[in-house]
Amino acid sequence: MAGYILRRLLELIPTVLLVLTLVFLALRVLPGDPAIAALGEYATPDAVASFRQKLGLDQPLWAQYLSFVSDAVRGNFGRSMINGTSINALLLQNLPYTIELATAATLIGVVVGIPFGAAAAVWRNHAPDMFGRVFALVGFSIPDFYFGVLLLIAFSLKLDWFPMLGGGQGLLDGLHHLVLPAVTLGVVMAAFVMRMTRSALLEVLRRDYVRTARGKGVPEPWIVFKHALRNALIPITTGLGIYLLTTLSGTITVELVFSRPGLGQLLIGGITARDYTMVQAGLVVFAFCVVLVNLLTDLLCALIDPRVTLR
Amino acid sequence: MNALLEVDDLSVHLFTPRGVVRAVDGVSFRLEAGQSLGIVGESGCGKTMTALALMRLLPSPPARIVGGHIRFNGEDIMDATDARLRQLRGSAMAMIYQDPMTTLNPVFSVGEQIAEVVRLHEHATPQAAFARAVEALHQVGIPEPDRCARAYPHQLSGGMRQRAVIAMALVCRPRLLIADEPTTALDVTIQAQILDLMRVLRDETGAAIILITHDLGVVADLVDDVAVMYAGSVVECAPVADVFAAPAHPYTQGLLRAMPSLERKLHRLPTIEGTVPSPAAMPPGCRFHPRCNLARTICRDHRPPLLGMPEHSAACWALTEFELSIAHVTAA
Amino acid sequence: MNDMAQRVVDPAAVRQPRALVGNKLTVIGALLTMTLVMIAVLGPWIAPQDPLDQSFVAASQPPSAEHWFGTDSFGRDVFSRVIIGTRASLAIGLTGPIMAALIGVWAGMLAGWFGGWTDRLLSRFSDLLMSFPTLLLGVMIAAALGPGFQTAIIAIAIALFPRFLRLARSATQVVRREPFIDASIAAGRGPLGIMLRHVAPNIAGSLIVALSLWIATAIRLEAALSFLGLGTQPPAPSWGNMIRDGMGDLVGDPWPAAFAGAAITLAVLGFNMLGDALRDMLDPELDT
Repeated sequence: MAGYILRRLLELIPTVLLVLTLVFLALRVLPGDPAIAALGEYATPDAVASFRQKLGLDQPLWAQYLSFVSDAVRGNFGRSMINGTSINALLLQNLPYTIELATAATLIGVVVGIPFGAAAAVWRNHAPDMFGRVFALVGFSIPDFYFGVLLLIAFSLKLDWFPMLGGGQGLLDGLHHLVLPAVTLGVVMAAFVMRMTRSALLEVLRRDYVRTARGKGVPEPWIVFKHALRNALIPITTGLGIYLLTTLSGTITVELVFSRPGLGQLLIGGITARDYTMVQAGLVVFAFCVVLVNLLTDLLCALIDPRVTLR
Repeated sequence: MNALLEVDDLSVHLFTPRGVVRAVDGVSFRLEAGQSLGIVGESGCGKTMTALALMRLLPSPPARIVGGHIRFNGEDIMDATDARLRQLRGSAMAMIYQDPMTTLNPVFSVGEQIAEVVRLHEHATPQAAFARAVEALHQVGIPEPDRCARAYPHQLSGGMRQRAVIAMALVCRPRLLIADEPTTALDVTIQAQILDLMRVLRDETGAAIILITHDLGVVADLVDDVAVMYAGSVVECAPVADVFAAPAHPYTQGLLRAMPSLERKLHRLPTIEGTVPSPAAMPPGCRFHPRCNLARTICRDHRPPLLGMPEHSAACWALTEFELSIAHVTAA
Repeated sequence: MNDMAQRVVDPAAVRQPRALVGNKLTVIGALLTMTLVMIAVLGPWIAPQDPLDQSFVAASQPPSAEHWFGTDSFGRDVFSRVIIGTRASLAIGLTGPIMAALIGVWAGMLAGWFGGWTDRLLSRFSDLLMSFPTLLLGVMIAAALGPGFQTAIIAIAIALFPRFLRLARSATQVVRREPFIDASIAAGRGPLGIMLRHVAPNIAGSLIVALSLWIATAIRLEAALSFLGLGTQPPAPSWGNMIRDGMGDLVGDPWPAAFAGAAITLAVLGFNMLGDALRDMLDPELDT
């Protein structure tokens, strides 16, 4: 198992490098001078020159690339071009909110999705299944931010059960602020997890070893939850990992809906304000999250499926 | 005196989107305690469906038992509640399946899966059950049974897996063991080993065995009686020696002629002319009559029931009782 | 379960599976999408009012006889804006995936045909892109190119093309291995001709299903980008930026946001249902 983890970590390195390169290149494609964008059209040539020098923009491209990569790897993201605050500090402040949201949404998605999906599979073509199909169809179609707006209007503005914006201070208040955003993303995820669970379970219930279990006298609930679900969890986890990424990027829009602090806010704010370094940092962190989630999913699968590591 | 297993006019139909298929059509046989029966027939003749029906393991969306009776130890299996069936499965009746590669659950160790049977039917602690599992693996001739019990199915070879499946079936000492083509998916050398194993286990445990196979050679050494199936029904039922020495039904005769033999020098293996009838064009009357060189007018219109003595019967109009009784005597 | 004896007895006793449900989906999906396309095409002629026409007096009104969907904070008729917004959303929602399909199928055929480094390079790149969630890719590209209509199209095209690449690549690989291909090459046909003649028909079905489903995704993506301020820029109406504008006064005037969002949902729903139904028709083995 340790060997497997090591191998996967080593395989990460070229991917990480590739990602950093892409982010670097993507931003250099931008037409226009970042210095002018930050300082304004009427900035003096001296101010522009010193600005460019401070940010290393006067260096040749390869030098910029090297310093960018070495900084990124060490976790040093520099300072915001707009107000000079340390980006690391901003990240430290905002990242926890995003992680919190993604985690809560995933929890909701799994806790609601798997049982409903199992019910849809076991009572196939009956009421739970039909309900599930409709739920899934709507869940896949409604944009997550629109769902958030609807929830906001209903539960915050009209009923005043939940706060309208912000991240909240402290544990209880923070949770209070977390509910609506998490439910927004969580319900959409639940629709996905439910369909995933249903099809994975149906596929597994067809297998020979399920018949073997029946032939041994195993009671039906055990067959579904012990023999079948454990096998179904393998494709479910893979699917979940992929969907987790969608949820992660969903935090960007949902944070905007609920005016909630987070990585997405930093990123979008940076793009709108032409804050070069902020955007760079935001993209890199997001990209790292993507790579990390992929790795975690693989490791989780290896844990569940003995065939992967024991060769 | 009750036989261990009485199957009476069993019929299983498959309800598919394209129509109803009569997989098993009026099958009857008896099995005494400790006896063994071989059910022989080619692919699609309904033998696996019959076996699954005995344990009520038919895949229920398409298949359903539509008629007949199954009595195990005098108890009606058809009427049994789910709870009663669960009690019987694994403890009184057990089954070995065809493909050892897919029979075992890949995410649990072999020992866990065998121990599960023990824990389901006997009061045993997990450790005690696991120890029983190891012992069962030893009984089926697996070297290093402890290591094998801790292994996962994908770490074992096909032959070892099948032994493990057999161990799993026998661990609670069932009265009836149903083996559905247990050697078909294995290499020829492993086949021989598994059959040897089954012979030994038959003698040691005294369980009644139903062995299902398409290979007549397999049953020769292993069973007391043979039931030959064709197109969903039993066409001949006799002690194994009689079947080989004096087969009564034309189909059985054809099967035996088609077996390669070291004694006869042949240029071509004889075959039975024609093919198994397709579902849409099932011949009326006797299902075998289009391929039969003894066919008469009556065969075209009326299906023959099993005729003859209880020990040796065949579903064929061409045979009189006298011929059947002669067949039995000459074979003895 | 091979031991299935086959004797069909009574076709009349057959139970019909849920083929009817599938048909309903196709019909609804097709109707929805066709309606949307019609609205988009006929937009300016069926919109009752000028979507850009502001009116201080009529600002932030709920639905009424004059303004069926109410007005937004600038006094613009929401109904007209939703109708015109259909054009932006569908234009981007259709163009993006079609571009993605053109590039992707082409690249996929190249990768599948030539193999070796071409394949490895293209596949690695495509896998990398696919490992990113589509919205994030879209944001990245918008960050690079600046917000706007064209950015949205390009962002969607880049985000979706790996899927089409995969499709075409595996189909091409299968065809490439067929013995008659070698004969064709020996007879002097070029790879282009072969690919068009043999690969294209094979993937036509999957391509249509994929297109329909990815159009749904593209519409959502465009809406999200516009909502974030990175796509269609105001005052041009797009469903996404209507919600963004509407966020300013949700308490007093939720109508623009509500109706625009409903429009997005219906559009995505329509293409999703169409894609699902098409997939059922072309690939009936999958029980999803």
